[in-house]
Amino acid sequence: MSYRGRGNQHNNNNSNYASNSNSIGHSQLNLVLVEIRNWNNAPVDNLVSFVSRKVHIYLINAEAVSNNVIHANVRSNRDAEQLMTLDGAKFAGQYLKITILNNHNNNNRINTNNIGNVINNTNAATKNTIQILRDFLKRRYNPNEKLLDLSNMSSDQILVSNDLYTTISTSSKVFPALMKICSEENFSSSPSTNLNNITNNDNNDNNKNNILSIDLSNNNLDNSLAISTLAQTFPDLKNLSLANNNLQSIKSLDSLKHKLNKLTLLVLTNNPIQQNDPNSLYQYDLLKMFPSLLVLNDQKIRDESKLSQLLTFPLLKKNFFFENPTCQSLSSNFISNFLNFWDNNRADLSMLYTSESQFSLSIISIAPHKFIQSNPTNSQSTSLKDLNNKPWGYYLPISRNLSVINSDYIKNSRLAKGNEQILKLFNNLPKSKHDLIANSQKYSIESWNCSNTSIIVVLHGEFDEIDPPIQIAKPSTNTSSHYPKGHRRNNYYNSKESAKTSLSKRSFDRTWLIVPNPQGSIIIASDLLTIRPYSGFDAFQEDHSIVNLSLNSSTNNNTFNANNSANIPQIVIPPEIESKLSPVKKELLIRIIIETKLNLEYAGMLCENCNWDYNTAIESFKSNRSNIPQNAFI
Amino acid sequence: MSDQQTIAVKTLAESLVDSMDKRPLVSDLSNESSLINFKSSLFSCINNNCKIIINSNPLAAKTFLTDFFLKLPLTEHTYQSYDYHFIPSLNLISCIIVGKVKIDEYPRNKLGETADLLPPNNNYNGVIKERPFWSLPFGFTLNFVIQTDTQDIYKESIISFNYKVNYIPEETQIKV
Repeated sequence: MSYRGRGNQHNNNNSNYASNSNSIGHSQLNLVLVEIRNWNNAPVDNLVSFVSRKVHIYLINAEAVSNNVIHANVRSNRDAEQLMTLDGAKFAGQYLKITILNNHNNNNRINTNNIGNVINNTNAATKNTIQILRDFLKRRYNPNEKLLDLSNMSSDQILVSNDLYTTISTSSKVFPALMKICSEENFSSSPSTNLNNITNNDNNDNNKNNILSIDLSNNNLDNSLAISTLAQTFPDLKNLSLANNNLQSIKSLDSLKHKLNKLTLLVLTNNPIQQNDPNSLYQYDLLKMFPSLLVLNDQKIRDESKLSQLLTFPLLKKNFFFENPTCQSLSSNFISNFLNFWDNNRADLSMLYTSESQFSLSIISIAPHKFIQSNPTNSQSTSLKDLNNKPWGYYLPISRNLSVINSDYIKNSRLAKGNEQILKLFNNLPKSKHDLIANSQKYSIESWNCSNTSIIVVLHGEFDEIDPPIQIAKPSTNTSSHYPKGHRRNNYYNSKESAKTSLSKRSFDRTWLIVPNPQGSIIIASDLLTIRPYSGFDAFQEDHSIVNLSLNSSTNNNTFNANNSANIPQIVIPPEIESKLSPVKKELLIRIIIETKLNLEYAGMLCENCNWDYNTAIESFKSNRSNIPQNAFI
Repeated sequence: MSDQQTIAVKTLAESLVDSMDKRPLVSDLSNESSLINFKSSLFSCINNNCKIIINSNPLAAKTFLTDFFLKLPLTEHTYQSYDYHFIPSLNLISCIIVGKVKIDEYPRNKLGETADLLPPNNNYNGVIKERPFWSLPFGFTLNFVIQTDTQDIYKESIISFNYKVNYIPEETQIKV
């Protein structure tokens, strides 16, 4: 589900928004209070319309209680369940987080109830309730095991004596309120945990690490809806016990589906679900609901190492590759000199381009998810959001992104050919600063021989725009395809001040095809540059902890002919033999040569003897390896 | 910049993306020769002597490129930008594609391998038929070079293939 709000961002603090639905008559209904987060890239009305359109539910008395949080009522538990299907749905560039705060509140907004008041009111009774719940959490938290024991809560003497389990209405609110407190408290793994100070900091990240297990056994739960807030507060939970409850079927766990993606252990013993499903088919559903689940009750249902292997790229993450030392020295020198000129005096780069050289620029203006989400308590994410809100006005009139340009005229006019046009285009780009020397981990360089005469050099990384362009490109007038869909054709920079404030940090990918000449200098034949919103450098940081190599890549040495593939020449099958082979046989033959290092003749014999069956051939090779003559190998 | 070049680049780019995302049918998985047939149908535009680099790791042969993508969970590549230059003096076209890729976070690769230890159950609609549980999008950059002086530009004309993940989302089960 995806929806992009069209309105400007609104901060609707303290405003009371009514939905389009008529709220008259709701006083007779058992309203359910819900909380919706991450809505604030669009007006509340847009959110109300969005919900109405997607799940046909009206949000009643939708009210912004903080910059990022809306409280609203829906008419019934069923509506609340239906609304939960939008949890995680994309709205106005963010992913909604929906929480059911209470069931059946008899038309009293939760802020007339002590427990619900956790969020808003600060009267004495509320403070008392909060303190009771906080003390309860303190008693039940085991920092050594990182375990929060929430079992058998209705028998807890203190909760019961404070009337928190007197009615269904109050008891149904205890768990959401506990989760709310958990999300605001800092659970330290140190035994001297102090839960007495409420902080307004977002401690969710700390709690992710400090609470890995939760015991919810013996709570007479018949549906996970009552504990749906669990997944939002502890999305990284590893172990969960729901033993000795009243869960009837797999549907009882629907509200946790795909929400606890790191859950490895689940205990469901002594629930009717087991008796109601004699074939234990629910176990297969659990595998789908919890993709990391390894153990159900005391039974291993997934292989841990295989799981890790399947979710890991079968190659090491590396940020440099040079086919050979020549490529390395040539491309290293080239890039450091090029960026030096690019940042300081682009005109001097003209010596690298000839009248046949080509340069073009493509723009992607849509930022990745991580860098458009705003978290008011996290200054870093806010600044990243600001970073990627900067306009693209300098670039769009010269962008040759062919996925959004249809006009041949535009295609051709935005391709710079020859030094003169290339330098002109360079002058349309903001002045920049690259930090390759000091922070090489933020960059990735690759270089290899492409043909006999040319070398490819690829650079991925980031740069800061430090000054507006020498010359600002103007959109031509005869086309409608200057801007990607969704971009307004504004006159962005009509003053020096606005031009300065539009500068940002950007990510880029650049591919040069260069031709070294015998005199030792080089010529750039092609220069393709893509600039995109800043998206960090996690993807370039080498991670040596992941060892999952199952492909024949030369990982220890940056050449195509290193390591396992060291002695593998280019495999050329003579045409007279190739013409007799089907594509299947040809593929098998090449695979056998690569894996066994047998030469063509012996590999062919092996395939023939094994009726072109891969497994048989490999088995046969392994069992007879010691008898194979040395001249059978490459 | 001729129309034919644009069409060729676009067709080859789509063919590469298609090969990166394609998975064999269940019937192919149970038969070795069908699987080999399927594998040989992938990346047909890549030359056998193509230089292949994935995330800065060189691969020795096209077979490993096929294996790399088949050993990944289901993927869905979409490109956000592409551009190319035709270099007549070298008979080469240099292309760059930048885009997004969603990856299935269910632990199951395109060959149907899972980590599940439960015995197959005929009463259960096998998990391989289930729809994917997509990750947030990763970013990728794909560079490839086409040799233009070949008989058929759509067959084994790509002599350089470089794939790089340029962005990893924060909340993902997939480790790159």
